[in-house]
Amino acid sequence: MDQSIKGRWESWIFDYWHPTREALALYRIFTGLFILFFLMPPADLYSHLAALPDDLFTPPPGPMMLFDRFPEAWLLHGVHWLLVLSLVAMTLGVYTRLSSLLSGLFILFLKGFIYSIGKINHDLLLAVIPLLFAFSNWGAAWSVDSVIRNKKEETAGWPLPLLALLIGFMMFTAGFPKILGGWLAFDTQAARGHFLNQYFLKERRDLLAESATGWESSVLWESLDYLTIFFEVGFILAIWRLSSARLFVCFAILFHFSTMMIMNIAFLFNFVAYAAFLNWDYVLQQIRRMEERLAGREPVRPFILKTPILWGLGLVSVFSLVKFITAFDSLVELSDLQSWELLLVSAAVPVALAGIWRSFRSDRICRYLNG
Amino acid sequence: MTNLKDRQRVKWLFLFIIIYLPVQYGIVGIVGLHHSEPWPSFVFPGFRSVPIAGLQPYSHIDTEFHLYKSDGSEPVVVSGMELFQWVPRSQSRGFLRTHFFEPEEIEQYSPEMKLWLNEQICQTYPGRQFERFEVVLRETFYSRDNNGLRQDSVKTHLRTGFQLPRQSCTEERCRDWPDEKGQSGSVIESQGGSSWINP
Repeated sequence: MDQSIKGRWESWIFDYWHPTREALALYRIFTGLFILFFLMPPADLYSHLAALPDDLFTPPPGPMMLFDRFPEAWLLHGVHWLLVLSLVAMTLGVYTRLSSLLSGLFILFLKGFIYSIGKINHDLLLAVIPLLFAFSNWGAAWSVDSVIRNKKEETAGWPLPLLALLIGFMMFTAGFPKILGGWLAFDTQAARGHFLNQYFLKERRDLLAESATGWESSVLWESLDYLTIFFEVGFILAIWRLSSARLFVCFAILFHFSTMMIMNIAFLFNFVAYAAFLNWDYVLQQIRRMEERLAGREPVRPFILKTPILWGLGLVSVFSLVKFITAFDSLVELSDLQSWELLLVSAAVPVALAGIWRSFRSDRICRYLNG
Repeated sequence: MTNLKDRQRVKWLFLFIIIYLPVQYGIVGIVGLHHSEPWPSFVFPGFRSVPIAGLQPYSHIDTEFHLYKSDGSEPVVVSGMELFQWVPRSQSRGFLRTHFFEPEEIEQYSPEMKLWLNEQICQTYPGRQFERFEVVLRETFYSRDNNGLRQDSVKTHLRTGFQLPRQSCTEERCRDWPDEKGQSGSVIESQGGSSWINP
């Protein structure tokens, strides 16, 4: 192996991940359905935006400044439906690259106007995923494209290290100002200050929030300050190997779970990006095993013996069930946290714990840390 | 990836992104000082300014709206989140800070903005008629005792407002009041007047 800087650089880009066509297809279908079910821009907002006076059109510095007012509601609804169409096309693998790129651009367009009321959110990764993975050729299998072309196409793994770089850098931008802002000082508890702002100002008072107002231990809150910074700043160091990046993604899930429990913030948008780091080949193996078991049962054989159909229908069933259960929910009432967010983030926790367990068991991280 | 040309392009892309990320972070920092945070940008929120000292009292500033009737009765107090329920909670504080914080800006609201505000009030309080709208910034202080945080005191920082357009609220819509000659028409009376209240 070429150990020169150039060699390592090329190896990082091109040998980081060698996805199989099927593994990428699993991720494509997951991403499309996850966004369609849970992460679509809120369509009920469009009529409100269109009715806003020009005084309230305050686009953030950037491309939205090219506009001087909110568009008509029909335009926003129209783009919303185009987004739905492009996501469906991406999921089914119809003109996959084009539909993925359009999905990302439509998300940016709609979010741009939603964020022109004077406050932005930090969910850019949601748009980045389809834009980036459009170039992985994630429509090379289990897609309409692959059926029509009828040839085995190459896939590209480089979008994953690039995504790792983006997440690592963005995490760094979250952690670095905290160091400058005094989060590490022992006589201040910043996590607590942030929690109290969420509790009082944004009235996020579900799950453990009420009880956390009484947590008076400065050691506990200071530990949270340190853990937050360790995790956020450490991420950038972990991106250079897939195994360590996966470990930090698992930490990220636990981090988001804890902020959800205490501050009622789920940050579910990031989970689509974190999902890219899943070992999709392992998922594929499990689905195939299930498929083999089902193959023994005569009645289902003719229809269900197709992995993508099993995967797609399985996801649709699970996501529908989550939506259905939480439609009548009362799991969370005192915040803007949605019950399905609570279920989904909680469901990711065992996956993260298993990932951490595997990382340490396989000793890869220890070897990495020891050089 | 076997195509050498493609590999070269990807390497250039990585190099560009590695240079671009810190540059855009710098731009976000500089622009963010004078304006709001640029978008889209590859940053997550830093929450730099939230540390609180263990023994210090905690405080937070809220935006309230006071709605006055013409009969001189006590104002109806409504929070920003209640009046603008359609604003996602993740954006509500930023929305209020951007548009209901600077007295000069509030006094210069356009007639269109005042009509829109009246509509929001009508939707929140269908059938009720208010004459004056005031923005009040209040800081609530908490002290600690053995049972945790307890509200201690409240300080008003800003109180500014204006007459609402002469419209009557019926159900969830606003209708122009008929003027003295029986014709309908919106009359905006800009009677501002604001004050930052010193501590």
